[in-house]
Amino acid sequence: MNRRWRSPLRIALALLFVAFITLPFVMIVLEAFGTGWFGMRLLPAGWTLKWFGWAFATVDLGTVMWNTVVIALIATMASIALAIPAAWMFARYALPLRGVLIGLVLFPRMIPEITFALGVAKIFYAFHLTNTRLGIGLSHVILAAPFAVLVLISPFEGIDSRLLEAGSVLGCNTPQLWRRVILPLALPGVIAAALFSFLASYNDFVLTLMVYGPNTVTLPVQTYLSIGNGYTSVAAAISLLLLIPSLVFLMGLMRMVEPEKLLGGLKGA
Amino acid sequence: MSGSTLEIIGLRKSWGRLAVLQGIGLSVPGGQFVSLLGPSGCGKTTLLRLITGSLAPDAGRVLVDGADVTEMATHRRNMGMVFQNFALFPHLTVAENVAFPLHVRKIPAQAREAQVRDALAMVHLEALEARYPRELSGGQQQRVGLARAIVFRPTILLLDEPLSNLDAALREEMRIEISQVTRRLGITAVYVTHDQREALALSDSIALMNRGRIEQFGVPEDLYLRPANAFVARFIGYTNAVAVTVRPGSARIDGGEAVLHGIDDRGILGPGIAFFHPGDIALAPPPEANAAAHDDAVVARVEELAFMGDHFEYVVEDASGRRFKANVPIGGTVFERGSEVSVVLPAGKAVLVPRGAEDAETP
Repeated sequence: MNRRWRSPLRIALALLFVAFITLPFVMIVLEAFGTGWFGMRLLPAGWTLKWFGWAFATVDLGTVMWNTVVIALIATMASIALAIPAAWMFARYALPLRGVLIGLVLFPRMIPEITFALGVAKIFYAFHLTNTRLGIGLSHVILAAPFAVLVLISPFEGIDSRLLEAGSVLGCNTPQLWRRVILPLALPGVIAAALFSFLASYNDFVLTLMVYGPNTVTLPVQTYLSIGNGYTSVAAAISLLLLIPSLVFLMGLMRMVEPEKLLGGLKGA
Repeated sequence: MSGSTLEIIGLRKSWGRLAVLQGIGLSVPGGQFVSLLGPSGCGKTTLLRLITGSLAPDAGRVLVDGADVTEMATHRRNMGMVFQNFALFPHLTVAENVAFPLHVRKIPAQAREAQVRDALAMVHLEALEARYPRELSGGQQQRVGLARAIVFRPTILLLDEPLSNLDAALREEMRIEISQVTRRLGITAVYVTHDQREALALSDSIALMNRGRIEQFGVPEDLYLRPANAFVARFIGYTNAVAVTVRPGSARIDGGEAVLHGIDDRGILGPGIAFFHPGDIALAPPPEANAAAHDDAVVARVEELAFMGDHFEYVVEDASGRRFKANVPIGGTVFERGSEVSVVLPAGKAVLVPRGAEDAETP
């Protein structure tokens, strides 16, 4: 083949791939903003915001969104609180069967969610945790914590032990060492772990479906319910609204962290 | 101000079956600068970490100002430490690094800022207080490390090979800085190094360590002029060794007729080793050409010579395979490779040590 054509061909392939990946998303956007989009039409006949209006009119979207965010924050905090000591142990100590133990931590993510969702549901029924935000948030820890542990291991491994020795010789007790040395140095990793945890909970559908109740409908569940009611355009509008808190959360985190300190943390690693 | 006293009694530490420290005893008066000198693996860094409490000893005590701190947590010992790799906190600025020990001690802001300013002034870094460690040169980073280690007026300052990561020119400058700061503060300092010149230049006293033991503890002149044994002599910088048999006032070089007359026998009688500095050994034309042969000379052949600017560095070897290094000032006779010379060993410059069983083969 002519060398001249290789580069345009590569670009075309790349574009095709990106188009393939984003096509469903494009469909959702068209569905949410379009009217009269039937059959084999390439584009909707007209454009409208009414599906968003319907979404707000038929569903208590404020509550649904609040539920989703609160549950995701509970899941994030609990996951990080669990993942930090676990990842530290895996990263800094010579554990027997380390590989096997890490494998077990990841186990919930390797089996179909529906399998253990049933198990979680049984426990939740027993403890009357279904239909509470706290309960659903805690159930999401099973989804979020394995990722958080995995993400935190390598930043923890990267901390120079002499910095810890310096901290403790210079007067830090263990909590001070965590607050002033370890966590600042691992900050990029902690943020990444928090993001993964938040999104794992925020986007979860299968497990939530098993444990949700009338007071704890989340956005993914609501999207599903709206599709079930036949309102595909409303469901599309809701699924777009699903995106907003994730974006706000992401940008908020970026602002909270001074990029320079992030770099320092990375450099120290 | 006088620093705290440090006393180490019978410290032992093993890693599995490897005994790293085999009963170390050391007494450092307040305000003294003492070096732990020795080859890598001699246990000097382990000893330092037992002093800070980063490691726990198998046996023995560590006393600061007479108080037993062996069981005390590291962060309560109030010791300062300077690290070989600087170990500055990369997420903190220079000023924040120096303020770190004050922060964890909850010193009020006003006092803290004043102390940070004083410490930075002491190491001439006031201008760089807002920089991050990665924006500093190695020498500057180590000055920050020094300021951070002294800002809270620790009982004892520990320095773990602080010059090893610096290049040669900076090393000298930093060495002077360390000497000035510690003496100005009158702080007790323990300095770990494998470089005998650093130890000699900085220390009030030196503990020369080998295989988990202290071979000799004394003032630098003592180690240099009166080494306790062959290991100390070699480590402190004597490169030429000859096995001798010592009689009162003289020593006969083994395997030959040469005798070192008027040697300081140091009360050693019998088998010994005589050490010489390369600079103290002279080379002369061989005995045939020089009728009045020195009877303290050894005949040898020139193996190597290198021009070093102000002197020639010779390596010569005698018939029995004994090698000598001689630094000969320029301006005299130059002996070519392969030529015969007589090696003049000045008895007055010889340093005698007893020859133990483990030294039998080495000279």
